[in-house]
Amino acid sequence: MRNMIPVLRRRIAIVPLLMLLSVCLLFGAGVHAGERPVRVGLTPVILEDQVRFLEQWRRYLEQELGREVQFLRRNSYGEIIELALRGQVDFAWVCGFPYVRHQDTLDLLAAPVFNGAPRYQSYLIVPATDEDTRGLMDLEGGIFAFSDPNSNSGWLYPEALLRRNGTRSDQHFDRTFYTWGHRRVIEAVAHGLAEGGAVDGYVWETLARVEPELTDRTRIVNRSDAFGFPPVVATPAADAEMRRAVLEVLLTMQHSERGRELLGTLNLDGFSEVEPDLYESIRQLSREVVQ
Amino acid sequence: MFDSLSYRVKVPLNISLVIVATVVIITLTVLGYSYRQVDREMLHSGESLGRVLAKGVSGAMLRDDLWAVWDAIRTPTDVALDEALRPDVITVTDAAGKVFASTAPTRFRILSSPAEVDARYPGLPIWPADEGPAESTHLWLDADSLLVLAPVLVDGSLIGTVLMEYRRPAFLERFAGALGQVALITALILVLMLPIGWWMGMRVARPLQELAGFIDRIGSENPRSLRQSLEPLAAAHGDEIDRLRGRFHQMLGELADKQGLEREMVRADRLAAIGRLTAGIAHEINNPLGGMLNAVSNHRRRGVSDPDTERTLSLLERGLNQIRDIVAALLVEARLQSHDLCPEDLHDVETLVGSDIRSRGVVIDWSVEVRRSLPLPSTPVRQVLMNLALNAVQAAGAGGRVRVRVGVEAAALLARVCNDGRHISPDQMDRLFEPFSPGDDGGEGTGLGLWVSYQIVQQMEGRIDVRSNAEETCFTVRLPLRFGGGKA
Repeated sequence: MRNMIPVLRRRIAIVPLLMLLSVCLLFGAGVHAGERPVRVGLTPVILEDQVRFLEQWRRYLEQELGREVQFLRRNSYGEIIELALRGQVDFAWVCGFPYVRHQDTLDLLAAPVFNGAPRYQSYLIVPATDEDTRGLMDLEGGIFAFSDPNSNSGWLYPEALLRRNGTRSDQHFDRTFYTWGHRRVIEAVAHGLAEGGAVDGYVWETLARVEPELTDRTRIVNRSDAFGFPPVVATPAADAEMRRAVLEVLLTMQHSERGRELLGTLNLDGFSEVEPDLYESIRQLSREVVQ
Repeated sequence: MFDSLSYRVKVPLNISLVIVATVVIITLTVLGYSYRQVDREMLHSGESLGRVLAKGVSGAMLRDDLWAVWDAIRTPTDVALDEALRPDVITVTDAAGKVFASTAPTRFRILSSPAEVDARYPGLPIWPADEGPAESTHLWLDADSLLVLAPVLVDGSLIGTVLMEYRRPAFLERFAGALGQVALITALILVLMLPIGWWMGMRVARPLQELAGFIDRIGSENPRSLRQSLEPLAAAHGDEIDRLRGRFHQMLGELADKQGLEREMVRADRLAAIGRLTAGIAHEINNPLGGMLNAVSNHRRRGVSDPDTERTLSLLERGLNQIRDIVAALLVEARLQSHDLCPEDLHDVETLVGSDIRSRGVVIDWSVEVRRSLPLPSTPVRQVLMNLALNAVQAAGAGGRVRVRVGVEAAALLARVCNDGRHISPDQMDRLFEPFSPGDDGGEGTGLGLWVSYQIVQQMEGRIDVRSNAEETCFTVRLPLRFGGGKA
C-alpha cells in the first residue's frame, strides 16, 4: 500500500520482464555459466519508474560486460545502502550523502556527467500558485516535503540551511514528511499536498523534459550551490576485476551510439572518474547536521 | 380531426400509440430505477471503498508515513472509475480529528479541522470512545453531496477516520449508464413492434373498411350483384363486424327483393293500364266494326251482280275480320267457365306442340307431374301453356332445347318452360308482356302471345315470372288452385 501506482506498473511489467529474463537465461546462462551476476543497487537519484528504459540499460550492460547483470530497487535509499554495506550488491548508485557517511566501506567508481560536469544542485520548489515565497525561511509554519533522509539534495542541504539560520525542520515547519523519491516531492508540491519541497535538480530537469505538465505546476524558488553528482560506488563484494570491467563499460558508454542513446534517455552526458574531494561540500554539510 | 380519420388509419394509429405509450412508461420506469440506483450504488461503493482504504492506510498512519497515506487515497480518484462512483474528495484525519492527508490538500490543509474548513462537515471523531466498535456511517452534506465516514482501526482502537465526499452527478449524467442501453432497446422495440402493431391494426380495420366500401356502393350499384360480391359468413357467431356483415348481407337481399317488387309493380301497373286502354279501344272499335260487318253481310244477301263489287266486298270483309280478330286477341277474356284441368289436357298440349317441333329440329323435354284433375279451368291453362311452349320453341331455334315442367306445388299449379335460346335483354324484359313487344315470338306470329298469356294468368290471380341469363330463359307460371272449372 505504500505506493500503489508503481506497484501496478511493476505488475504490468512483470510479463515482459519474465520473457526477457527467460531469453537472457537461454542465451546468457549457457555462455557464462559459473559466473555470478553483477548486482547493481538503484536509488531514486534517477527517475526510477522508467522500467522499459532500465531494462534496455541492463541488457546493454550485460552485452558490454559479457555477464549477467541484476538491478535491485528498494523503497528507500536506506535499504539499498544497507544492502551495499552488507555486500549484498556489487555496485550501487547512491547519493553523495550516504557515500560520505560510509566512505570507509564504499569506494567511488564513477560519477555521471550532467550538463558538462559531474555536478548537480538541490532545488527548493513551491506550488506554481505560490508567487510570494522567496526562500526556505518564508515557509515557516508550512507543510514541507523531503525526498529521503539519506538524500543530500532532498534533506541534508535544506536541513543544514535551516540549522545555519538557527532552526530545525521540525521546529520551522508545522509538518514535514518524506516521499521516498524526488519525483514524488515534485508530485506532492504540484498537487498542493506540500507547500514546499526539496528536490534533486537533475531529477526536476529530467522530469521537465518528460512530463512538463507536472513540473509546470511547481516553481523553483532557490537553486543551491553545485554538489558532486550522486556517484556509482563499489561495495566490498565487487572484486577488482569486476570494478575495472564495470568502470570501463561506464566510461565508454558515451563513445558508442547505443550508449549515447541510453545516456540521452537518462539526460546525462556520460560517466567520468571522480575524486572523493568532489564530495567535500556534502561532507561539510553532513558534519554540520549529523553532529 | 382524429374523428374524421379512416379506421384504416385510426385503428393502427391507436395500437401504435399504445405501443409508444407502453415503451415510454417502461423507459421512464427503468430510468427512474437507475436514477434511484445511483444513490444506492454511491453509498454502497462508498462504504466498501471506505473499509478498504481504512485498512490500507492504517499501517502507514502508524508509521506516520504521510506520502503512503496520500498515495493510497488518491488512487481511487485517479484510476478510472465509473464517474458517478468516484469520490470527489477523500480525506484522512488522525485520532484527534485533524487532517492527516487529503486528495484536496489545498482545501483540507494538513493539520486543519475539516469542520472548520467546511461547516457542513461533522466534528471528528464522530464515534464516542466508550461506545463499542466504530462502524462506517454516512450523512448528506447537502442535497447532492454525500459524506461516507469509515473508522481507521488498529487493534480495536480508533486512530483516524477516512472521509469520502461524493457529489451526486448532474441529473442527466445519472442516466449515463442506462440511457444508451434504454435508447437502444426502446428503438429496437419500436422498430419491431410498430410495424407489427400497424399490421394488426390494419387487419382489424380491413373488414370494417370493406363493409364501408360496400355501403358506399349502395344506390349506385345493383344490390343483388353487390350481395353476391359480399362473401358469405364463415361462422354463424362471429364478432360484431361479422354480425354486421351478416345483417348487411341480409339487408342487401331484402333491398334487392324490394326493388324487384317495385319494378314488378310498376310493370304490372303499366300492363294493367295498357289492358284497360286496349279493352276500351276494343269496345269502341267493336261497335262500329259489328255495324260494318253487318252492312257487308246485308249487301251480299241482297245479291251482288257486279264481280268488281264482289271483290271489293270480299276485301272489306277480310280486312274487317282481321281487325275483329286482333281486337278480340287484345281483349283477352279468359273463359273461366270450362271443365277442370285433367292430365289429358296437358298431354294434348304436348301433342299439339310436338307437331311444330319436328319441322324446326328442336329437342323438347316434357315432364308433367299431374296425376289428377285440378280445380282450374282447362282452356285458359292450355292456352297459356301452349303459348309459352311455342314461344320457347321459337326462341330456341334449330338445334335448341326446350324443357317443360308442370307440377303441383303449395296449392298451386306450377309450370316452368325453359329454352336455351337467345338471352332476353333487360330492356326487352321490362316490356316483355306488353302487346307487340319485340321480345315476343322473336318477330314472328302476332306479337300478342305473351300479352294474352299474361292477361289470362292475371285474370286467374296467378303470377308469371321470367328469368333470363346466358344459359337459358325460363318462364314460370304459378296458378292458385281455387278456380273451379264448374264442370267435371
